[in-house]
Amino acid sequence: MPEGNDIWVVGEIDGGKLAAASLEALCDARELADGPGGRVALVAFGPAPEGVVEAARQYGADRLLLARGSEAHARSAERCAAVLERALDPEPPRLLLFAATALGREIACRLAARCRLALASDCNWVRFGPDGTVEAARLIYGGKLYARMRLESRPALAALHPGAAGIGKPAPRRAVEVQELAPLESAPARVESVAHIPADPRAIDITEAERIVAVGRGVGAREALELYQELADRLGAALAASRPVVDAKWLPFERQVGQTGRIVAPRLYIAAGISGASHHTLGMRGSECIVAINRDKNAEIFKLADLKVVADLRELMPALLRQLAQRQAA
Amino acid sequence: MNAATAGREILGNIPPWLQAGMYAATLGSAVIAGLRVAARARRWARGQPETQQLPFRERVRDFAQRAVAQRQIGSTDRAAGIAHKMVVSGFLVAFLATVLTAIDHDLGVPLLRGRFYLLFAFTADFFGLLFLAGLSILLYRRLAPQPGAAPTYRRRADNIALLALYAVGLTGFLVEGARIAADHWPAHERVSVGGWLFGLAVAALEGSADPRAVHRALWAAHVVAVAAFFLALPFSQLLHLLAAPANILLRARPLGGLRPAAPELPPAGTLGAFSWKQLLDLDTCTGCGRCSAVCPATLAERPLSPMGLLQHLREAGDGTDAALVGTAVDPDELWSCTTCGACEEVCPVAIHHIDRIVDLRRYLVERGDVPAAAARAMESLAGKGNLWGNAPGERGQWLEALGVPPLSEGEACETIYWIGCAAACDEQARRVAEATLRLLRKAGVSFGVLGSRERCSGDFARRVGDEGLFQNLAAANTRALLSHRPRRIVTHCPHCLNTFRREYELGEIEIVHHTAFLVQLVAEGRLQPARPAARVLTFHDPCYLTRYHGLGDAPRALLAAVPGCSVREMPRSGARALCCGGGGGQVLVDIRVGQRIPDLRFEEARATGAEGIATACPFCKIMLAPVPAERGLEGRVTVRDVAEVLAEACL
Repeated sequence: MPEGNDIWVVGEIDGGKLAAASLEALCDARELADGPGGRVALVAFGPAPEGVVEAARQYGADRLLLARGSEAHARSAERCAAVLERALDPEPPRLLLFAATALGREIACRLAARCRLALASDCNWVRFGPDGTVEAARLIYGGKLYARMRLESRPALAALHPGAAGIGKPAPRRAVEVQELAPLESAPARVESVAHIPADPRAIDITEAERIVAVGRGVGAREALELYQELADRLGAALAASRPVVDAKWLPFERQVGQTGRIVAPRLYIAAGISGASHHTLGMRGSECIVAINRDKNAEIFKLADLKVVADLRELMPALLRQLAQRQAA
Repeated sequence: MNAATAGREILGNIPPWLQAGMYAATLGSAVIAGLRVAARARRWARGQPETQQLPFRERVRDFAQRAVAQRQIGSTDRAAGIAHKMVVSGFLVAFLATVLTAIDHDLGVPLLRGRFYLLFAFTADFFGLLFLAGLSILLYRRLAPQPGAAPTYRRRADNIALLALYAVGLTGFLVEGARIAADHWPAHERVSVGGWLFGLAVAALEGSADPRAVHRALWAAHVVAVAAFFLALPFSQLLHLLAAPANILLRARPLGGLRPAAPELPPAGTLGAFSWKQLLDLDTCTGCGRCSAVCPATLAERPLSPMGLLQHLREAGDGTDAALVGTAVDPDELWSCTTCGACEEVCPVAIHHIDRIVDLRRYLVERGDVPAAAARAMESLAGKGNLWGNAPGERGQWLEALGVPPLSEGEACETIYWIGCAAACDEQARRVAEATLRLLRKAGVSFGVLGSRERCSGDFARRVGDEGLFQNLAAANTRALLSHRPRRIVTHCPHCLNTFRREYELGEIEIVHHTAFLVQLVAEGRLQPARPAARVLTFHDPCYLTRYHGLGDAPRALLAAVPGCSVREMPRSGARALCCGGGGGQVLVDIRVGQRIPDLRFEEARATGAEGIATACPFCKIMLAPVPAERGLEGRVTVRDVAEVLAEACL
């Protein structure tokens, strides 16, 4: 068995582009491989549009391993895992890195089970230990402790928690060698993906929403909610609210974020006119990126915010919507 | 009038067969009543043992206040209080008069003669009139309910009982009047004021009828009324004549006290799991509704009425192992209680309301049937030691950032300032701790804090019904506190204070509320509130401070010490204050029915015209502080802890 230091990143394609979590894994892999001087390969499934090849070039892949097939086939973890298993045989890498998304997790689990390989799921970091083995860490016991693991199989499998590594700067372009893997169609599958239906942010449960626009009593009047619904629609976000807004019956209880309502952790949380009582912040503090808009520069919500906007919503909102409309039209 | 010969022939004009009938009817009905009371008493005795009992002195004091002075009855409703006192005094005097008559007649001891008879006759009549007048007021009120009166719970037997009682008094006077008339108005009977007056009426009505026959008929009616009273007693609210004094004297716990959870008890959530005191409570309740009239949940139109809860439990029957929750009691009723203790404070017959609500919550917790918010909070408590799920380490970091390094384990410390999990996690509460810390340092007090080794005191867990979680938190905190061998623990949280004082075993350690501690520092001149703050404030009494522990004076004294600051009291203040809505787990659990309690309280505070609300509990502040902004009164009405007000004046 060759003693290479190669890393394969199993990418996920979302809307013709490499998904953000996969991009993070790719950047992480580049950094890791640079130490022992290994090569990085991006594995992609499906039609592989130009955007993916471009991302591979920009973010440090040396090779692109492509298993062609339809989009539906690319969403079949069974097929992807089977193709990967076959691809591992001739030249297994040191490490296979996944993004811990729904699909990434499933492919990793299937592959680990089929090939009896060690898998660290939902990791905060992965690195090579001093003796060259793969080490990984993840939170356990409800986030109270870190578990550090050593993965002794070769290759080792690890899935990175989305947002854990971050996306680095684009590196100088590399020449990417494209190599075809077995087509997805050739792999057996018991479950076929029939259709992929995007959720309607207006209808889904707010705990499932990727983006949330939340309003507090600070938005003024009930009539103003239309503006926030428009903002939510334009951002593909769900509309939510703090308790007083729900108490005033402006929005139904299912839309309430906070201790007595829903606990949410979207990628983007825009808090408009919400002061940030602990009752509310307890329900949203796990959000990845928090944008807070409030007139009061001392509002508690700003302590949690990644972007603080001290402004009068009545002036800000029309301007914001105008800007968004222009950009989306362009 | 010749005082020396005054007296009367007892049972004169009553033929022997009628006398025999009287003895049969009264003794017979009394025996039936006695058997029924004995059956009820056997039911109480089947209850679980009580491991708690208030000290004898406190029970006697409670008896003097509730049973003798009857302060609770009149405190919310003056007319009812006066009427009830009239009826009770009249009843007791009539009872005594009957005993004396029986001694004289049946035992043959000549008592009711001469001057003593005159005194006896006057006293009995005077109180008899009070009795009848009081009953008339009560009867009128029952027939024509007053607007805004407490919601009452009446069974048909209760109305029959009241009528029987009324009939006893009325026929008593009629029979006395008829006797005086039949005896041709003996001059000394003028002292029998009631009988004389009724005699005139009887004489006017009887016309040509034989006065002796009229007397006999009325006498028979009186006997029937007395028998009816005896029979109604054990089947109606009149049972409280016997049960209430016993219930008050046997009081097990202080206001808001909880039963210790015992794993060997029969399945919780059944009547069989209740203690004998809790069963006695149920039979003592008269359905007067005073508890529901002051209950914040009832006032906010939430599904709980403490009186209704008791009555439904009583009506759940004698079955000891039928599940109560879901049948006699709705879970939402249980989750509506703030454990504020207003019901227990106002109850004239010393019923424990809260312990049984918590008992039933324990049952729901055991079944895992709790509101999601409570479950989340308990998970946070178990894992992180606070209600909000913040990382435990944050507590220490925040204090260190303020320059207050936590004590190291085992370091001796005389005065510990207990921060509490609210201040560690919630910004509103944190400002209370920050103000207190600044004041303590300004006064040069040497004190220590526990930092990350503090956990929630367990008040929330215990009152939500998770006894195991409470025990864990209490054990960890007790260990941490005792390791510093403190003499006193100062806390700004009345919930922690109550838990430490009553539910922890901390030995001789003095548990002090920060307001009491600060009052002392001001009195010693170590804190000088010099900066004038011309402000009219209203003070919201935290239930666990004022109602539970009677400590409402210190915060008021602090406000009075601030130059230019004056306090305008709300109509409901002190031990009768309305809850903020945050106790008993309600700070995080909201069943979302009816109004929000903090809104009600805020309205009361607003109506005083005060510019701000001062309080002395982090949970009151958390509940009340967001209300102004929600009503567009941001910055116009402030909600602050007394310590924050004092800090502004001192620093």
